[in-house]
Order: sequence, then structure tokens, then C-alpha cells
Amino acid sequence: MLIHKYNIHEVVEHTVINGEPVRTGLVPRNVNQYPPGYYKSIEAVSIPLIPDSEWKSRIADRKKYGARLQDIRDVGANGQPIPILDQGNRGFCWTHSAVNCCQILRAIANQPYVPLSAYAIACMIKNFRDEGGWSPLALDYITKNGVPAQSYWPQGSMDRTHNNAETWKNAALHKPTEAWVDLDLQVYDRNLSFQQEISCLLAGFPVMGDFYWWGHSVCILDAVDGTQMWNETRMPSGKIATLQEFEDIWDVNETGGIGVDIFNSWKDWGRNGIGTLAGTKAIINGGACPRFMNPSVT
Amino acid sequence: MFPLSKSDNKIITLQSLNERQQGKMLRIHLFFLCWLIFCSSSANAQPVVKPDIILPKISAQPVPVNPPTAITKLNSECLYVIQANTDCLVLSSPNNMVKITKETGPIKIRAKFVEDPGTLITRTFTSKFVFVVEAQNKGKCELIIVSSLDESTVIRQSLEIGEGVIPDPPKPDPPKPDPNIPLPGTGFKVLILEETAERTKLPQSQINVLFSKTIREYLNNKCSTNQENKTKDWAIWDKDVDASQYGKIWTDAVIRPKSVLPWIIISNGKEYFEGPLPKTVEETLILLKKYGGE
Repeated sequence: MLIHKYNIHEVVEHTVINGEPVRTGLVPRNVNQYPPGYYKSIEAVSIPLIPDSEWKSRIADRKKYGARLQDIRDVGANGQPIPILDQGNRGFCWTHSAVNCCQILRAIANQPYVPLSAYAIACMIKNFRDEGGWSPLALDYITKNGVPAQSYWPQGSMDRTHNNAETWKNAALHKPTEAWVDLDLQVYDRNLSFQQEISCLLAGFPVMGDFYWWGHSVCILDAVDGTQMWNETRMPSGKIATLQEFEDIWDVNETGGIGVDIFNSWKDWGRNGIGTLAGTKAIINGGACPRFMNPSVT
Repeated sequence: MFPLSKSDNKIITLQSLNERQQGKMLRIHLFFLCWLIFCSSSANAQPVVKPDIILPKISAQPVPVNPPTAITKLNSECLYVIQANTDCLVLSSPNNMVKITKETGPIKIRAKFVEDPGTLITRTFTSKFVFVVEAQNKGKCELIIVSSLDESTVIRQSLEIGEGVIPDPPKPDPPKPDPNIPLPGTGFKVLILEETAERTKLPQSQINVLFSKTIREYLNNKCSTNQENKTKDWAIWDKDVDASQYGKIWTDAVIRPKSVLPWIIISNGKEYFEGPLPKTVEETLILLKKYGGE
């Protein structure tokens, strides 16, 4: 599933899965109240950057060694793919992107697979209301309280009885302890530059990304080299893009043809939940990068 | 010419010749007569044939009432030497009881020989082929000497190796566990520690080591299984990790000195390695296989 500037309207407005229109949940920033540039530079997060001249060779190298995060995801649940964390018909994409990052981090470290509950985080933050938010808000909560296993708070459940001491005792076992996140900013302003985003991905860290053009937040797994994907780049008509269209879609001048592979929270979407965002569609408008989850045996 | 026939055993009769010729002829005939007598005596005696394969001759033992099959006892200090003037095959059955070495004669050997086990002597074996048989394992075996395809020429000799003669080798003390070994206990275990905040500074080849499908598959195949959580005993952690959930051997491993990051600790319960993580997938696999096997 390749999403680019010429087919986003289909993705944004018309995605229907199993007869139901999908939900997103990202809340756009009130630019009247908080115009762009209102806060200081997003460079406040100090991530050692990987030069963009090295991006394409590193992308090829990771694929050659089966060393991408989607390769880790493919065996991360006891040798099977980590299942799609389905947000269902609630606007909770912003907690699902954060919890997906947590599950990927556990798989990288070879921790036992434990299905985690993104619904628990959304319910606690929004007091059981079906409301949107931002992924750094979810990460904040998870860093302080952890995230419970689905055996304590079933995915999809809004039942208040799950909110109990045993649930949060279990949740405390699943906390990120290292992350790149700009704590000086409000959660809805926390962001990473495109260079920071790609540097994290090339180093094998998942990124939680909020996309205003989509109104959606997703877990980002890998950087991709769009210049190697001409045959897969099709216009809405179904025809393979011409050279000019191809360069336009992949924003070769702006991003060097780099895009990202995402792990979406919509069941039965893409390649078992994986899709590709091309060119500038890969640039996040908000987000953070957790680096490590403290190990637990359950 | 005088007809001669060895088998007839006849004396040649002299014909009439002049006296000189007769004398000469008499000497010739006498010589011939002696020759005939010699040949005649040879034809009637037993043929003397030099033996082609020679086995050691063991001193005669008193014959018990129920004599067993002739068995030669061979201990670990003695040699059993077979000589042969034609090339042959010397085998043992079973084939792990003795060691057979083929030499070319003549050869001089200084040793204790089975004919006289208590005496160290030097002997010269003059036959063209010399087979030296040495004891290897206690038990019984049979030497089979094959010099031709004719089964009747096959020579068999039973040997009894040891049985109280070869002392059992002293059993070495079981190796004491190295008190310094990280991740102790049976099973193959691997821990990689890194500073996650510095990972973007690593060369991509080293980052690939952390994620490589080949390395992860190797670790999943070779590492022991954690009985509590059923995962394989390998992990990649930030150096500041709280590993208390995983138990003492892991928390102890985390706090061991490290000179550089990322750092790898490999242990198979008997040997261990701890040092900088190699820079490539290939180098890392070689290191892992040194302790985990192929």
C-alpha cells in the first residue's frame, strides 16, 4: 500500500475496512492559538544525526541483512508476526502508535511477547471518552505508569472495572525507560525533524508519528528508498507513474526520494498492516522516539 | 650324447672310446653320477620352504584339561610384531582394540615384545614387511591376516588386550566451575549491552549486528531456554537496564566492567567471552560459533 500526494484523498476520506469507515483520532494543532514557530526549535532534542548522504546505502544494507524493524515484527510474537493492534471504531490512533512502538522495542530486545492494551491508555487519559489526542501525550502517560497487558485490559474494552490495582501493577512491568522526546514543549508540539526521524529509523528505533495531512498517528518502522520503487509507484488510474510524476510523488528534490514504512492500527489494511508513505507524506508533524523498554518476563 | 633321466635313477654305461677319452669321460661321468645321486636324494626328502608370514612364538604353556582357543595376551607395554615376505593385509576385529602400523623391513625396534613382556630389548626384523600391533582398548579381538584370495591361506590370531594388565587411566577431576564466569549454568547464553542514545553514531554494519536475521536465528537455535518466560537466553539491553525481573545471573552480568559499548558477553557454562561487539554480522557469527558451535 503506497500512499502519496495523488491518492491521499482516497486514504483520508474513503478508507473502509470490513464495511466500516476507519477512525483516526489525531487532534490538529490550533494554529490560530499556537501558530507555527510559536515555540522554539525542535532541535531541542539532541539526536546524533546520520548524514543524508548515507541514507540510501544504509537502507539497502538493512534490507540485505534482514535487519529492518518490519523483519523484527515478522517474528516478534513467538516466531509469528506481531498482530495488528486494531483501534477499531474509536479515535484512539494516538495511543495505538505509541503502544505499537513499545511492542516493537520489546521484540528488538528479545523480551517475551506480551500483547499490550492501547485502549487502557486512551481510556485513562480521556476518562473513557472517545476523543483524539497526540502520540507524545500517550508516551508521557506510558513512561510514568506503564501499559498493561491485554489479559488485564482487553483491547477494545471501555469497561471501567479494568481500572484496578492489579492492572496497574502489571502495567508497571512495561515501561519505556529511554526515549528522545522534547520535554520542554507541550505534548502537541513535540516533534522530530525529518532528519531526526530518518536517523532514528536507520538506527533501528521505531518512531511514533502524527500526520496532520492524514489526521492520523501511526508507528513508523523503517525508512525506504523510493527511487528503487518506480514499478510500485502508480497513479490513481492504476498506471505506473511517468518519470516526472514519479519524481513528484517521491519529492526527490525535497526528501531525496526517501519515504517510510508504517505499521498501522487498522485491521486488514495494507501488507498485514504495513504501508508506505512517499516523499513529503513521510514527514511527521508531531512525534517522539522511545528507545528502550525495561525488560520483564511477563 | 648320453640320455639322462633323473627319475629313472640310472647309472650311465660307458661306451667304447679310446683310453684318454675314456678317462675324461670317466671323470665327466663320475661328476654326473654324483649330481644324479644328489638330485635323487633331494627328490625323496621333505621340501624345505622358507615361511612367508611369521607370527611371534609364545612360550609353551601347560595344556589345561579343556584347552581354550589359543589366545595371546597383549598388554599396553608390549608390541606384537608380525613379519611377512609378501605384501598382505592385517586387520583386527573389532577395529578399535589395537593399532596396526605397517613398516618396511628390515627394521630395528627397541621395545618390550609379547614373547617376553618383562624385558626391554632391541630386535631387528628382517622380513620385507613388518606389522607392529599395539594395544589400544581393553577387551578381545582377532587379528586377520590376508595374503591372497585363497581363504585357506587366511591366518587368524586371537588377542586378549588388558584385563587387569592395562591400568585404567586415572579419571581427571571434574573441572571446577570458573567462579568468574558470567551467565553461569548450563546452556548457551548471550547478552549485548549498548548505550541506545549513541546508536546512531555506530557504523551501519555494527547496527546490523543487533538486528540481523541470521544472528537472531542462530541465537534462537543455540541458546538455552529460559524456563520462566520460555524465551531463549539472549538479550540486547541498554546499559542502564534494571534486569531484576530476569534474575541474579543477568543483573550480575550487566554490572561487569565494560571498556567500550556496545559490549557482548557470551557464555556456554564452561567458557566465556566478554568484549567489544564485533563490527560486522560475519565477525559476530564467527565469535558466537566459537562458543555455541556450528
